[in-house]
This record gives sequence, C-alpha cells and structure tokens, in this order.
Amino acid sequence: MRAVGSVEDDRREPESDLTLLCLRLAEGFRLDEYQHPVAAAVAVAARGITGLGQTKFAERFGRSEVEVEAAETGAVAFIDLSAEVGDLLEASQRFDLFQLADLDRAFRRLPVESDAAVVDWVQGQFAGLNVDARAQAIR
Amino acid sequence: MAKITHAEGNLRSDDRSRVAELMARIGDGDDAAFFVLVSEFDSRVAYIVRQFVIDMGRRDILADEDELSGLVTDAWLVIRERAGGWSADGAMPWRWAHLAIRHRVSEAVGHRTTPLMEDDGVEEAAWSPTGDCEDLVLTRLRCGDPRLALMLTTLKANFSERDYLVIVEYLQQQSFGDPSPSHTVGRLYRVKPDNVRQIYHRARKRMRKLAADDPELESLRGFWWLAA
Repeated sequence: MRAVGSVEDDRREPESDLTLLCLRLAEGFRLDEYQHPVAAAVAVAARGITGLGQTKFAERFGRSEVEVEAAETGAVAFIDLSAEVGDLLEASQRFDLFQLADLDRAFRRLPVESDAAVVDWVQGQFAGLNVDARAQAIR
Repeated sequence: MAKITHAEGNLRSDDRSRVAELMARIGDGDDAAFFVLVSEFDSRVAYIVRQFVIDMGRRDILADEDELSGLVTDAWLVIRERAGGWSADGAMPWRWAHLAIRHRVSEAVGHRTTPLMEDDGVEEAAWSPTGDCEDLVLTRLRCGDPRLALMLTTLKANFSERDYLVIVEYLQQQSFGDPSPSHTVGRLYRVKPDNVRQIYHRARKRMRKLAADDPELESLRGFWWLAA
C-alpha cells in the first residue's frame, strides 16, 4: 500500500514493521531529554514514510517548517500531533500506534484516568480501525 | 523487519547513490531519512544479522521472529549511530559497520563458545564466583548475579557511554579468551590499545573507590573484578 503523501516509487522491500524502530528512536530521544520523545519519533517516522525533507513536507501538508521542526524535536505532545502524522502512519500499516501510545504514556507516567484521552486521540486519528481500542490500550 | 535472505547480489545500479544520499541526510541528523533507508534496504541488514546469528551457533533465534526483528533493529541503530563516519566511496553501510553490528548481535545473543541455557525444568545450583572472569558471559546471560548487575549499573551511571562499552567489551573479550583484548576493543571502538587499557584500569580504580565510599555499593567490595 502506498502511504498518504508518499512521493517515493515502490521499491523492492517487503513491508516490515517499523514500530520497534520507532520505539527505540523514542528511547534515544528520551535520553536526549526531548520533552515528548515518542511524539518526536512518530513525527519523524511520518515524514520518513513520505521521503520528503522538512520543507517539502511542510508545504505538502500546509504546515510551517517551524511546526514540523517543533513536532520532530519533541515540543509537541503525542495527542497534539497534527492529523497527517496519524494518517501517514496508519496508511503505511507498518506501525502499531497503540504500542507507541503505551510508551508515550509510560514516559509521561500518566495516571490511569488519562488513558481515555490517548485512546480517544488514537481512535480519532485512525478511521476504520476495527479493534477495541480501549481494551488494547488499558492494561 | 524483513525476513529476506538474499545477499547484496541484487543491488540496483542506483542503490549506491540512493544510500549515499540517505546516509548523508542521516549524518546531518535527519532521522526521517533513517526510516527511508530502513524501509528500502532492510533486507540487506536482516541478511547480515541472520548470518551472524547462524555463525554464533544460535539458529534457535531464527525461529523467533520478535527476537530477530529486535536484532535487526539494533543493527540499524548501529548504522545510524555511525552514519557520520561513513564514506560513500567505501562499502555499503551494513558492510562497513559489520564489525560493530556483529558486536551488538553478540552482546544480545551470546557467542558460539558460550553454552546455551536450556530450561529443562531442573533447578541449577546457585552460581558462585570463582574469581575468574571466564564466568562473566555465562553470568550475564543468566542475569543471575545481582553483584554483576549492580556493577554494570554503577559503571553505566559513572562513565561515559563509550567508556562503559569499552570496559564491558574488554571484560567480554577477556572471557572469550582473547589474548589481547585491548587491541580487539580498540579496533571495535577506534580507540588506541593503550587508551583501552587506561580506560579499563582507571575504571577499576574508580569502582574500587566508589565501592569503598558508598554504603549502597558495599556488596561490590569483595567482587572479583574489583579484587586486587
């Protein structure tokens, strides 16, 4: 499947899961003291799906470069990431957003009642996701 | 991660320029390019990792998709960490970094000279230090000695990441029977053998002092690695 906004040709690799890579990157960002390391990794991954540089990515989705840079450097919270980020990851089918949301929550040490906000965001981002999001996300 | 097993024989003519472009971007800190590189060339790294795992006598891992995927991810992170030092005139990144990748895989899965742990339901006798660092690898795999865990945690907290890796690798190479661990570790981390020895000995000295001064590290005082 071609990702939303993708400008790359279809190369010969099978569609491998990139969730773990995203998680590891987030762990690294956390060590680098990013404010929202998981969100940063997710934002970077989304742009990676398109293959675009920051400027073209911003143009394509009607954002400013400053906004894109802010998301990728962890200045934007997971639940505040722009819609295209979720769309890109969902369309690529190579990321488990619930795992990423779990890690974000773990990093932020949210109280249990805050799970609902994350789940709502995930559900809102991924139309057609045919799973019980709440059951997946709350452990 | 991909489970493709082919080698590099099917490299396309434009692969090299594509890799060079992406590696340059990664070296400049563009992690989005890292995702692109992984997406387009994952099978190359997966192939190398599989070869290392087989070479280390751990074919059992090939059947564990999650573990193998983790190893491939680790390998990619090795390439990312070193992207700035890669030259487009040389080998492809996964070949260029193969020693470091092998090292990372070895850390994760053990080595072919290391006995495998088989859970046969029989409780084994408690591990006891023999005063010989040959026990290190086995112990690390078992995670059975809290003093070793404490030592590694303390090392990690008190030394730079590079020094920590150098020290642990030095110990590991020693335990493998390497007659000249300082040279091996030096090659792996691009540190002169003299400096490796210096890092190692300074670490022991500092750890001894930490163990002597900090009540929480009291259990390390008789630990074989810190013994004179």
